[in-house]
Amino acid sequence: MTDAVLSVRNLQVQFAADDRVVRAVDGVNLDIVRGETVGLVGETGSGKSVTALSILGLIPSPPGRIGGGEVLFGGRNLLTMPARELRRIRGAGISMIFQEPMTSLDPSFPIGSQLRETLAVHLGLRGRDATREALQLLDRVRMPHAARVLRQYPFELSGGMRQRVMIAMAISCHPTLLIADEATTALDVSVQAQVLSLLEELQEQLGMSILLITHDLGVVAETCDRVYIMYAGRIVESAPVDVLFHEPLHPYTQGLLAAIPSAQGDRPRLEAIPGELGAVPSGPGECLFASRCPRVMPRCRSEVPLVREVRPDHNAACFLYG
Amino acid sequence: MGDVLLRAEGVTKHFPIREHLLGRRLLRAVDGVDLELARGETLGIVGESGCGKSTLGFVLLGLLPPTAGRVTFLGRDVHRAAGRELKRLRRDLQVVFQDPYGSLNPRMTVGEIVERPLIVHRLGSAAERRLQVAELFRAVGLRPEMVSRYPHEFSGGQRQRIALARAIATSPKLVVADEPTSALDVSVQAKILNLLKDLQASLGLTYVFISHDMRVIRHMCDRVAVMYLGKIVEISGKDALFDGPRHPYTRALLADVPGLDPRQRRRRQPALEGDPPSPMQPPAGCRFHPRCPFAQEVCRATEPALRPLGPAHLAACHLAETLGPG
Repeated sequence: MTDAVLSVRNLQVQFAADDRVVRAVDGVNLDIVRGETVGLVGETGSGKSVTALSILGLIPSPPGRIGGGEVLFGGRNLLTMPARELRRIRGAGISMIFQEPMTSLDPSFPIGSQLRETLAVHLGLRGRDATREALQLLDRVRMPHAARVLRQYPFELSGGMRQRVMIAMAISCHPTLLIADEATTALDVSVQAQVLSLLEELQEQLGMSILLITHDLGVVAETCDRVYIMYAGRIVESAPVDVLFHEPLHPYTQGLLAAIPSAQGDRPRLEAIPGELGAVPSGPGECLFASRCPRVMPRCRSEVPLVREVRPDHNAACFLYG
Repeated sequence: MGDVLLRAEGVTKHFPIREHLLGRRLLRAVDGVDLELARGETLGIVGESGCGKSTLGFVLLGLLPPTAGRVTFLGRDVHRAAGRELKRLRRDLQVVFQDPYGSLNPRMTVGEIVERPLIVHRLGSAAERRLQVAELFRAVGLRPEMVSRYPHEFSGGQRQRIALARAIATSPKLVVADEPTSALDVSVQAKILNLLKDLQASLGLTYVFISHDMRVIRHMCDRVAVMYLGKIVEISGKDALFDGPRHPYTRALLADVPGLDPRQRRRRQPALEGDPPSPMQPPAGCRFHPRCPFAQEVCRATEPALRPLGPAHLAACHLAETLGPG
């Protein structure tokens, strides 16, 4: 894709665990176009968060190690960029929000001083200018009683309010790409709806792209333009959101969708994917989903399926499609 | 209701919170809840963080004494029982928690964990207990050979199975499941929900199913109670509640559940503004009025009572008739 804001090419991330090496991310390709919202979906241990952290060079090393690949942002490879330059990209080019805003905020400083520090580091704003900008940012994320919040400490705010503060910091330098890693997972459904609506509004105003990392397919259906499904460190399917929900190709995607209780209550029993992720280790030369797949074929045990374009703009890594 | 297993009358639980040296305030976690639970049914309790649903579960189980009101199980007051009667109640009332990591003792093997209630209640000889534990493991879909392993060797879904095996060990009549699948991935959740339904059918269990997830509630429950700031604001049969909610808060909760069809996506307009107010200072009048899009003068002044609006359908809203079913 030529107009991609971010292109991840064959990303490999490994972790040293005891006496073995875990391939947390194994050959991930991913593109994000300007202004779009891309969902990266997977269950615990699928490698979705590791992928996101690798993009910003935030993998703790050791035990983590980038084994190969490229992360292209504005034509430059972030994986080989000097630390000084990468720091400039973080915040101004790409910023990130996390699931638990309490751990991202310093408990011992008021919100105002943390916002002003961000503004000083990235934009060189100080004193009254910084305070004015901080207030504007809080207004922008629709924070009620913004002036009072500047004087408050993180523990005095609700989870939803803390996430608004994180979003305010994240957009302070008008990033091209915002990565949201399970940013609404810890929130109640009414607050989640508020935060998702806010992100959508900010995206329109600022023209930024969003990479939404989540395990919640409902959130994806409501907010994303395109979706990547991850399983055991690999992308197994990608498609425009509408196509993915109506014509899922990969048996894993089909299983995930069938496992969700319906809001209409018309499924007496849920279809569960047999087995568990990582319970039966797969050999190096087979499909990682083979041991759980209801449609497994002999070929799946002897070859690794590669992602291929099954239909226009709809990719899957499965031998059912050739 | 035909066969009432458990009845809660005016159950109230206030926690004193020490704020300053002299100041003490009350956190009104549960405030005047009436409930009846029929044998064999699943009653869902749904609401957002801090609405008091878990506290209510603890009071129903007899694990927290209520500040006011009473809970009776088959006619016996749960909080006045002592001695043998109390022990019998503990056998009949069991619980499964959200966190499959925190609720299993890491120093005990999973076999010991499941056997523990059998020892406490003196059910069977050592040999009989061993057989019983193996049977319980099979019932929850685990291999009996796993008994000598420790909790850390299991995944979240397997731990929840162990917690379930422990809960059903004493052949209880009622199990309170407090967000039993909230920490699990969706494919694992599906298996645990199926297992809960299977166990209910084979053992004739009655469930109180506490969750914040409207999809899971609809899938699991026969009746649903919606809680807001310590009070039940609506209670009804599942389909009536989901298809024709009568309380504006229930409507909002349902509207904010993300859909699964991108074609039906609408411009997201959150149904509710702001966070739930603090249970330390619940608003006067209707507790929901500061967030309610329909609030009138009467809602600010007078607290609405839970009243019948349809067959076995109660809601606490002054405007229920004007608004009609949502």
